[in-house]
Amino acid sequence: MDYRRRRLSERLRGQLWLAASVGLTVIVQTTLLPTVFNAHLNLVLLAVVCWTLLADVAKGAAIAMYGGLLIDVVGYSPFGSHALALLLVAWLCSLAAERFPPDTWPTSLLLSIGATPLYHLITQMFRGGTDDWLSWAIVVLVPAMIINAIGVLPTFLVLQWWNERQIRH
Amino acid sequence: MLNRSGNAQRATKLIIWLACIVVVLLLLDQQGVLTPVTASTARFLTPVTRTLTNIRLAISDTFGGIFGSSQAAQDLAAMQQRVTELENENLQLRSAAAENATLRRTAGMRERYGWRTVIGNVVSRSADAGNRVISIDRGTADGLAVGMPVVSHVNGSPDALIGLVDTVSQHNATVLLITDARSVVSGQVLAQVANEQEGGSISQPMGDVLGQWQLGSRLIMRHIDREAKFKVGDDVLTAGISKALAFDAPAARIPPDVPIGRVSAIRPDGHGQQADIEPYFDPDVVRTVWIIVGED
Repeated sequence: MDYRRRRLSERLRGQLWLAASVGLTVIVQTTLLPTVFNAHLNLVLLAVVCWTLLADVAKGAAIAMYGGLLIDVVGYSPFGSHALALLLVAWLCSLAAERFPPDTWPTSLLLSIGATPLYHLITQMFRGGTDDWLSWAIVVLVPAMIINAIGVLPTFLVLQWWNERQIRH
Repeated sequence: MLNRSGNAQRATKLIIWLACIVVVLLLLDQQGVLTPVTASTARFLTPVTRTLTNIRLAISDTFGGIFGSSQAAQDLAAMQQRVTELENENLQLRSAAAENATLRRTAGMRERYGWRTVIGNVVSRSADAGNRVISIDRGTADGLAVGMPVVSHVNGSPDALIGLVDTVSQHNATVLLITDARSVVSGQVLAQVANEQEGGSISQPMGDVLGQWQLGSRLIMRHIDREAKFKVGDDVLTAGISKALAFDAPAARIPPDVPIGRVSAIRPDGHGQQADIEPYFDPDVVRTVWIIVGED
């Protein structure tokens, strides 16, 4: 009984730390990150991709929920729209992890390039879509895919180092 | 913890469960049930996000002026301030001159630029680049309502429209920037037309100013009369058509003659003309905004 309670308490503490870290990431993403070539790095999306590959889909889904809901609060978008988009990204990554080596950077690179259009398509649908999808893809999607592809490599390596450190301890 | 090997079904099940929860949250949000919670959370975060946004903008300012000496930077700032004043003065005079020609015939003179404004700070921007929206730290408690125009200026520019209040809670609001593809505002071109008989006059061709950022441009003005004469470099102001017609719509809160930008290209468009509009400045870089809550 005592063991169960301690385990529950540990898991709760773990989730609180995760929520706080994801919250900090969202705030950094929406306030501090500069815009480069009409796009800015989507740190939460990259965290979902990397943690789903490095740990498991449960961690990726938790980040998607916490991050997505907070993005909606900060950005006043429909509450749950970004969470839904990020959950689908986590699901895509979990499917890919079955077929490709999950703890290697090329998989994370390919998935960040593949997940960015999925995420943007869903959030754009919540905004009512657009009349000109081709121009939207060129102006919004391509820069976002490029900047996320550049950002995923350092993100993956840092999270991989962090994950291995946690496992060792 | 899930075991990765062969657990795709369990992963799918978990995602479906969480997606169901999210759909319920979306439905509750649509009904307004969650508004008090989300608004309080946003308000709680406002001091942090406002400070961090100011830090980002201050850093970009510093990097922008890093190649100039401090005396030169001061001189430049003073001159830009003077340019702003002159630009405002010039636009007011030209706008008044243009409207005089028509208003004297109809309703007489009206006081120009008698805006009642509320000052606000930019708190954050949207989390992804596909959306041109900023959050500000003013809400219904400060007199804001959906559709109110938001103006700002950067060094050397006139006070210009940057967007409209899109959503509003008690202490916060979001501003849909005029460059976003969802933004539509009625506009008028302040065109200086050479007229042999009158020795030059000002005409005001009207049209719809649409945001084009997601489509690869900034602003475009459509549905301009084919016969209208104007040229590259002419100023574009709001037309305030909904307000003039006393529509009970958010767009009716936009007064006429709020500066928007300058014509940068003109081309034919079906039975009319369209023009590319260059905003006076990038609405992304402002940190202080003025919301027009009414007119004197």
